[in-house]
Amino acid sequence: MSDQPVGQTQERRAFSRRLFMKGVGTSMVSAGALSTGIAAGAMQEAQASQEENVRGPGMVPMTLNINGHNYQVEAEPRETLLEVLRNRLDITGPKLVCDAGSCGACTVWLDGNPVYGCLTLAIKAQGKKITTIEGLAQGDKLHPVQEAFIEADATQCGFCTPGFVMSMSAAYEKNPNASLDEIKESVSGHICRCGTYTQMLEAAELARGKIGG
Amino acid sequence: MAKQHTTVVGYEGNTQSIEYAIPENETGLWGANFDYSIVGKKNIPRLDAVEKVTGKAKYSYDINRPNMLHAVVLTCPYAHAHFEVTDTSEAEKMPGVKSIEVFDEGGKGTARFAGWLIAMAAAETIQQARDAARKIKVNYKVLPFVIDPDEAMDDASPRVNRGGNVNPPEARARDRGDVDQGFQEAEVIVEGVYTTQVQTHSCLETHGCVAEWNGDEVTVWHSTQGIWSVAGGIASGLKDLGLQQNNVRVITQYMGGGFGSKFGPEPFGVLCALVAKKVGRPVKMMLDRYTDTVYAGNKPGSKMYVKLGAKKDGKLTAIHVKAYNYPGHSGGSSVAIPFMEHYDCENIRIEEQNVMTNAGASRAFRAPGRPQGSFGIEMALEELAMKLEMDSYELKAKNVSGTTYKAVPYELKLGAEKFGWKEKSKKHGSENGKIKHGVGCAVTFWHSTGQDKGASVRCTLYPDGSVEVANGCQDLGTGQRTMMAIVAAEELGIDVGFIKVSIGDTQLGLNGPASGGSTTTPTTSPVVRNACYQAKLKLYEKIATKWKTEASDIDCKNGTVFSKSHSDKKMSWKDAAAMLRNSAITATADGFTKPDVPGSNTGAYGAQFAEVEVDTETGKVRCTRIVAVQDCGKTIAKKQAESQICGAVIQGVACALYEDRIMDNMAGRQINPNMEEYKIPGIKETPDIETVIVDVYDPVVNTGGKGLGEPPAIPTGGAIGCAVANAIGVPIRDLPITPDKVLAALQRKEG
Ligand code: FES
Ligand code: FES
Repeated sequence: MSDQPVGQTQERRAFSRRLFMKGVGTSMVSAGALSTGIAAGAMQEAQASQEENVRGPGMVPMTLNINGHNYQVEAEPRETLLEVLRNRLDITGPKLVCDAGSCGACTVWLDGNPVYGCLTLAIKAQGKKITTIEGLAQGDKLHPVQEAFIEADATQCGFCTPGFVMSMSAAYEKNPNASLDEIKESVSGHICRCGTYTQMLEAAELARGKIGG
Repeated sequence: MAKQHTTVVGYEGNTQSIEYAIPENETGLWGANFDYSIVGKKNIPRLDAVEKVTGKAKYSYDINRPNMLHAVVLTCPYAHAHFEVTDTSEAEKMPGVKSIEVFDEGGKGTARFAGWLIAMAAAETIQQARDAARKIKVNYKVLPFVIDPDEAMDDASPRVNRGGNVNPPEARARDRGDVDQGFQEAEVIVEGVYTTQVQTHSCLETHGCVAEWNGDEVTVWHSTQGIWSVAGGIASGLKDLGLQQNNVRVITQYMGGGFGSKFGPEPFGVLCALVAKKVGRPVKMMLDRYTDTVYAGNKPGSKMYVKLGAKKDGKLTAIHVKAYNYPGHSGGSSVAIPFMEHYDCENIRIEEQNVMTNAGASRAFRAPGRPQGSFGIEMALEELAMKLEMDSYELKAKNVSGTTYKAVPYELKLGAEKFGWKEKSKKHGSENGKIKHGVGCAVTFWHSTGQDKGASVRCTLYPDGSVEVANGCQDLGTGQRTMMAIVAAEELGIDVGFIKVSIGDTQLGLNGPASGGSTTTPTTSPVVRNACYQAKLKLYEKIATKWKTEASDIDCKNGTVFSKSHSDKKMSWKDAAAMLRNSAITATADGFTKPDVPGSNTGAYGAQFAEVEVDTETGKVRCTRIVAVQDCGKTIAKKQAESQICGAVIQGVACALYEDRIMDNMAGRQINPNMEEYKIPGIKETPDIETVIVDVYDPVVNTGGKGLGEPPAIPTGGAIGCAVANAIGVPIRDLPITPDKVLAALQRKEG
């Protein structure tokens, strides 16, 4: 009897995916960016780098800068940033949904750039500024995108909301006058199962009114 | 003692005054003439919006308890197999592992689809639990299986369950009038076979829970649409441990989508609670995406043989449907209602059977059976219009009728106007060019029956003017909290800001409905009103003494309490509440009395209009615009209602064009059990959606509120299907309408 399936299809993918991520660091949130050619190259690179600098298996101490605070945490090298945030630090705003880079619910910022937390190894996020949905508001002052989501009623169940808000706000941080098409592009790697897109588009317009010049 | 009331009911252009009686301790209907200050207004933000946009909202998946273990389940990889867990010792010795448990007695049984639950491993970390689950030794004896429903109908095919694969063996028939007579009267007949796909619920928050014991009491944070059925299920599942339901507390404060798939404790809910007891530590088990997709329900596919008879003017004379539903290895479905109720026809015969296959069991999915049946009847009518060379809107409008409480003819007409049907409609397939445009329309109907004894609501008025309204229901994202606050604020005559809503916790001790069947609003809103009404009367009694008048002479509007007979006597709500000093007023209402008014019904109706663009070179269909006209009786939370309608429409677009559970018939497994290859529409696939909410005042409950979750999810697929037929001049009878089917249809048309 060989290995048993534990969410088996996904597990196999997870293995190669994480190996891949080891090679290239963290992934930007964008739909369909990876071609198999790149992946194969990265795999070789990953294997090469694995030999010279082996850490784990087993617990490894890490320092993560999250929402302006340094956290000392022990985790396995295979743990994703999302898993460490949620399971070790109780920072549960970023959600685990597909665990495979298809839905965007896990989106956080690394140095201001939105990334999928489920495709980012925690160990590789060290030395970067990590921002989660919990750190987006300035104290009690919500980010304009958060305000706009409230005004437009752009949440139903709300499970996708932290991810969408992080990507949309990052897009406006980069370009306060981002067009609606640019905003659509910025959240095109996200899924909302409740279908709240119409209200999110309304929120995007409201937010531009608050941020744009 | 019953009290007589009068009110005005109906909808724009069709109202009437009625009289009715209800008990004295209940409040009368608001009705069409009431001066609403909050109900139905657009500007009330969702009560929990801040929590949701800041990440503070804690879903069951987000509950982390001190010392908590993480668990994963192991499932069967084969579509049909005898299995036996033979050895768990290696798994038990893995690092961090605290428990390995099996789902079936003795760890053996027969798996009837790939995804059957076999065992659960709990460990210090989720990674360790996964590692351990892989080391559980299971012996499988693989059995013959069948995935394709057409094949499953063959007597020689492997049996999915005991009994035959076609259930019941003789079709269930529903008859109205005389269908043979109807076809004899017909001047034109159309026939077609329509099929719909299996869709998975794909809730973003997977199914699962966290269980924690404190002495004899267990608390379960469960991602569920029904906290009470979970509590009952956990208690009965663990009754051998001596557990009684008074020691079970179920909490669901936030829930990441259910759509009909999240009722009941689930076997892993019971097992979580058991392991938490045995190990003496809290346990979290949330399904991974793969298992959630294959195990936790789906919308059954269907195949409908439809035959319509009509007069030359388009009036239906007969409908005959033979339908097969595909619920997987267990469950069942029916597509009958849209054929029987959406359009008027005196002679109908529907025969239905379920065809079982070795695939995951179906569960309720946002209007069970309805989008399927709607696609069947709308497409058949479209083909009738094509045959008669009639405008399909004209044909459909000819076959609907209304009453004071059934506004569907009005809604269809209103939708056509808003949509610009006259300008956009053209003969089927008449457009030239590479990109072809088409329009289609469809109607909807759903009975959202409120349960008159389904909810207990407690209203508490505090001396500082703040108010708590509590009920044992839960909010799946529909805006239930907001709806309750709006009703309470309107009844009390104060701002929503005064109201706190407590729900999602069985420990409130207040019976509440499961969130299903679009019944939560009609079940809870009238009781919210009654509780607030009773509480405010108690406060008014105190004021009446001071003002030397009767409680019935006192009212409150826009935060000012006043005497109806002496306009100089008034005070602010806060001052009135302050008269309570150190006490609070509590009133609990149990259920409500349905006013007995002839003709009143629980139906919510509507109509949708779709516009599509078909690229005849690539076969790609884009839905560009939807106009959704919908009533839910009297709309209470308008902004949230609009969001819900848009969401339903987008799920309808998904059904029409994108989502499809694809099975490998040879391997017996789903090919796309994920969110990558199972295509859920994103923001770029979202059409321009215009919602048009119609208020239909129906004395069915005192708020006039009906359910909304399901009705707008029914007609979108049919409307889009009709629009595609209108664009290319040939019907595509098989959902989803993917490019390959479009190209094949165009080829057939040419060849
Ligand atoms: S959970 Fe990371 S993309 Fe879905
Ligand atoms: S609001 Fe529920 S998934 Fe987006």
